[in-house]
Amino acid sequence: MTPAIFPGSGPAPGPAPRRLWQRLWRWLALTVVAGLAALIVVAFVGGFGRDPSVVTSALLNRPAPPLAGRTLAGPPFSPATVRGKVLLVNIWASWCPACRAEQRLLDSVQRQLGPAGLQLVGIDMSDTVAAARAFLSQTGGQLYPQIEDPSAHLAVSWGTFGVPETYLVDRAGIIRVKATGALTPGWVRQYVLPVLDRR
Amino acid sequence: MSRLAAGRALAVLALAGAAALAGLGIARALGAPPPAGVQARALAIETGLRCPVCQGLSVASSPSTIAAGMRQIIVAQVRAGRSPAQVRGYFTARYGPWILLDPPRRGIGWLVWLAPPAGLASGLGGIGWLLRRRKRGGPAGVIPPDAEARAAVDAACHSGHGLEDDEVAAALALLTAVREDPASSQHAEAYAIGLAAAALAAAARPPAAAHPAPALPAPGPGDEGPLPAGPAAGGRTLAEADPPPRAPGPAARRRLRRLALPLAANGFAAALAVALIAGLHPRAPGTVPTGTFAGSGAGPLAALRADAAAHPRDPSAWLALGLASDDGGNLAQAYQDYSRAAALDPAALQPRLLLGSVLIRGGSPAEAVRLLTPLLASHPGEPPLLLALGLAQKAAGDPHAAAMLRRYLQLDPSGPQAAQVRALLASR
Amino acid sequence: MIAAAGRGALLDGLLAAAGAVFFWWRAARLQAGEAGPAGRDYRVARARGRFFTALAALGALAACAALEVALISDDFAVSYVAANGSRHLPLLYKVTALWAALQGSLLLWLLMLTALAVAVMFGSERAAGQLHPWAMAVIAGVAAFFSGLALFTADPFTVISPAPANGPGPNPLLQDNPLITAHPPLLYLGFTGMTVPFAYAIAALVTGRTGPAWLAVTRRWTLVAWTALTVAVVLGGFWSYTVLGWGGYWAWDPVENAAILPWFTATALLHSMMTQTRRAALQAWNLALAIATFLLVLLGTFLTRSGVVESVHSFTQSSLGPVLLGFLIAVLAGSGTLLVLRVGRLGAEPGLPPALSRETVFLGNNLLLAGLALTVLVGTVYPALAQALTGNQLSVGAPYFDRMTVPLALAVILLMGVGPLVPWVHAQPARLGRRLAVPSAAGAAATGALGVAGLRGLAPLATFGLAAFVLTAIAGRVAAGAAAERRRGAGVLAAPWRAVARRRRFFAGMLVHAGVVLAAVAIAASSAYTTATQATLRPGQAVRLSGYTATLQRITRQDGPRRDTITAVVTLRHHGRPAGELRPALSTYPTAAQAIGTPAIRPGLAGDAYLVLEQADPAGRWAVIGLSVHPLVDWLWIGAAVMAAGALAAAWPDRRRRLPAPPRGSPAATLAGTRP
Repeated sequence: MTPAIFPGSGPAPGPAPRRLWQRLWRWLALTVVAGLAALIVVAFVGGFGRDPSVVTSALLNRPAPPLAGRTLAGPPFSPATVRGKVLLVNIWASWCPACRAEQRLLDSVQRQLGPAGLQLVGIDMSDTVAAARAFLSQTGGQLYPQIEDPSAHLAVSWGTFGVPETYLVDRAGIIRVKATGALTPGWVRQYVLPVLDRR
Repeated sequence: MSRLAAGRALAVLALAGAAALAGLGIARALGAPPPAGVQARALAIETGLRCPVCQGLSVASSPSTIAAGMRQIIVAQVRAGRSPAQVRGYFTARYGPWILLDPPRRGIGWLVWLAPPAGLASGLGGIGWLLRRRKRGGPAGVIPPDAEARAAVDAACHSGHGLEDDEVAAALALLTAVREDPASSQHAEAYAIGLAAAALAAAARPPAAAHPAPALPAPGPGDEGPLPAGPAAGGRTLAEADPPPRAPGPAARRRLRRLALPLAANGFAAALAVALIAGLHPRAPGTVPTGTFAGSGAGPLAALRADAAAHPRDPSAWLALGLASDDGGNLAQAYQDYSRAAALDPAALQPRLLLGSVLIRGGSPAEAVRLLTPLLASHPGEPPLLLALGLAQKAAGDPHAAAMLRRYLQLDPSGPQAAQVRALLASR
Repeated sequence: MIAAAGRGALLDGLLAAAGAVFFWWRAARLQAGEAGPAGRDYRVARARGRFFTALAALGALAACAALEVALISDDFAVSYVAANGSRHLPLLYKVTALWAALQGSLLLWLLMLTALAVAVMFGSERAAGQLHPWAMAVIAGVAAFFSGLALFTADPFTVISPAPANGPGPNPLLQDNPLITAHPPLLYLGFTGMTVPFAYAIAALVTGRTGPAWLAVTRRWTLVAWTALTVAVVLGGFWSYTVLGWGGYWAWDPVENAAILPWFTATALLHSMMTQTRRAALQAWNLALAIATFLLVLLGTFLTRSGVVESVHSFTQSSLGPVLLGFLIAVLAGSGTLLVLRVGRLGAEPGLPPALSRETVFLGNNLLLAGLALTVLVGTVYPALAQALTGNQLSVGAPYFDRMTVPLALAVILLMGVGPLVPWVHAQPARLGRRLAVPSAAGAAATGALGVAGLRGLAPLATFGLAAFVLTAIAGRVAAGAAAERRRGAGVLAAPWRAVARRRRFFAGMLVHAGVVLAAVAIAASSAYTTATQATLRPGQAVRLSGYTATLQRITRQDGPRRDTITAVVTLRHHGRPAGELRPALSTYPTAAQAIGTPAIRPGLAGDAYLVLEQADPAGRWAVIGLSVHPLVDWLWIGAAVMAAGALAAAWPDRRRRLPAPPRGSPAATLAGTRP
């Protein structure tokens, strides 16, 4: 008989014997495939409809960082203005289009809710005094103190991811809610009013 | 010493010299680094923190203004003597563990650190199994292809005809492909080499061997014509063999049986996915281990101190100063400030709660218990008071602690500290 | 009118693709029947399949042409043009605006896929045999899916009324640099090209034929797609380095990772296919690699277009995400099931000998590349998974990826040097040791010399040593081949060329390895030894770093309808000698919130000087200039070009040529004349 020299030139084998471990191997392999599919679904299905760049603040329900610095009007910021009040700390910048959009709402919130004990404080992040003053005179924001923060140190101590962001601080100095992006009247109604009314 | 031995000794010497040089170089490269200045230490921390504004860049490489501010804060803290863990803790307290570019090695974090080595290990195991599997010999009369190829390689190399040994081996193995795919002309040249080498091997074998001459397919007409196809010696390769015949039976039942396995597998996957998605519930925010909650520098503290000095009878000024000192880690100062705030406002609960917390952290829980217990009468049913008193009693070893903590949980089951308190109660 | 034409073309493409699927499937079933490939029914089905495939390609081409016409003619009634076009764009950027946003880029993807289907249809039919109709059916099916996606979920041809007067233009970063003409099309060519090995793998599983026909076809198309993907990924790094201004070229961004994942598995597939050519082993593994490559391409598309991960590349969220996820899961489940069920029918594989041989080295290579793919995949998916399971938001960034991938990459480079020296089938340790001696000595000496000279860091030092090892090993192979040619009678100068020409594929692979090694050296040097500094300068002041002196001359300002730009004019000197004038700039676009910087680079083979304008006074009195020096980074681009050249040389089809007759009187001639 001619010897077979090269690989694969022997007689063809019969049907593979269906031993138990081979069938078990199939089930196991299929389970692995199914598990992989389940893992992918679980990982990504929760992400739909959610903005991936928004991160939950780590400061919620913790004491608010201190507010200090020079105001845009000139004199240093005095903590007396915020003592015993509910605070809305709004971080903004003159180069930010969304800040322009929410400014009118912020002014009206200060006007209407100021007597009830609400105090708005602005932090002007990574900005020049000239540009910020131009923004104030054009768009608004002169009803409440504005702290200048050109090096973003104050904003970083508040855990800022970008502008505009707003923090709601209750009378005890605990941060209750954080808003990312421009404020809406609905947000004010939903979150600010209950804190104002609670004594 | 013969020329060959001298040459070999020289070669070994050269190799040893190169190895020694490499060792020296590596030792020098790994040796004690020069003492790192403030900038270098700050850079090491910056590369591990994520810029909040950019997508995925580290604070060290980000051009944004927030990252510039963070860099300045890091340099100031490093200059003030804080350790890298403390600096990272400062940022983690404000941004959460998201700000760290290295996933934490806690909880589910083990997955990301273990998965690659586990994958590599199982791959190595698979390769080992694959290499060991080939133990069964072929049917009688079939020469294992490896032995034949090996023999041909050895013979061709040692016969002094100057062929590259791996060329020969490659050509030998290519002959299989040639036989299967006659249309490909690039194998024709390999065929010629292989033919010569195989014949050399046959010629080099001692005449007493029992192997008959290897049967090779006849060379085709001309050098580039297609070779005679297929089954010259030994049948088609297994790769081209027809699939084995299936068991006979009604077609529908066979189809159902074939579908059962994949259907079951996909049904299991769907059930698993549903169970996982349904079982997920949002975890309580704020249950994040943090480092020291450090203040943002001397500036605001000085302003608050000035404010308190300007209004010495105002309890909230001292409270704010105390909060800032507390954040800065200065418990002694915070204790004094809170005490003054509490003295100025006898009815307020918050300064006393904060005082109690400072006492617990400062190591005097018994005094905290003494301070807070009288308040139970004046402020019944206030969850923060129950929590503070319960924690103080627990730290002081008071047996009433568990009852107090449970009362707190009853009144405020979904508060921010509820999960921690439950864990505390469960751990005893 | 244009919108209606475009939408009609898309619909036509979808229907044609569906028709193609049907007829190719029919042809595949008929070819196995009694009449076989010669039967009339088969030929009719095949002809119709070819017709519908070509029609689908024409439909995609017409849709792209319609959108291009709308962009170039400023037809702002079409929603895509209203969102991404602008009157002020130069013509080049109007053309490239086609793929600057999600809907248009999907059309480009569709065009590439259908053109590829036509190329496969004409080019591979003869070689693929029975696999061909099944593979064409699969490719047509994928094309049908993407046509439906473009038509129903991401339609660029919606009409807006009344039409706006002008559009905002594409993302400012995409109207800045001519690289936009090359990077996305090459990337999509690489991605869609990976559909072909997948289609042939499915065909092989269905028919049970994983022999040389499958190997030849898969190898050719995988090589083409691999080349395009390599060049595209490195172009992306080049863009990041020259345009984005942070001085780096790879940020382990989720979408960047998604582009490199199929690259790892495709490289593993190219190597293990060589093993299957020699010995019919690892068939199932090769099929799994081909399927995995396509699945990773789908995952990459999903990550980019669904908006579930935050990335510098991601488009905004749309309903595309769930549909793509569903398709990915369906393909995973279907092909995984098919693989598991059919793998037993591929026939018993002759195993591998448990000895050191090139086959086992290739197994090691596959293990390492699969490990690299797994590491990058776990790191990319982990934040989403952790958030889904625990609610915590976590990040996985450069420190993790660098720590986990660098050791594996170094091991791959080591095998790159050892592998070509190990013979097939069986390696004798003594001979192997002799072959490895000189390269090992070169590598060790390089490591030692550089370490003693003062370079710090184990990883860069190891990279340089391994690079010397691999390059010496390759040179040794060329020398051995040249010596063999000399023995056959060639001249001294002609011998190396003859040797390379004789084993063209092998030495083309060695060229690719050399390119990889150059790129690795560049990456090691530029990551470990880059220095940077920053200073606030007035005109006339200078900043110094590593022998470079950058002096600010003046600050100029230019306002235009598209953007306002502040430019700093800086003169550079290197070790006292003038090195040119550079102009880093800072531009503000009306639509972007922050200013976008443009760096200025002075390239050099030993290192680049990199200037960035970080902040500038609008009145021109001061500027904050950042200067950094990146050693050896240009070798990364050179290495990528070498890789591409080597891959193209390997893929070049053979010329049919006459073999030279063996020299008279040699044993080969005597034996060649003998007929057994």
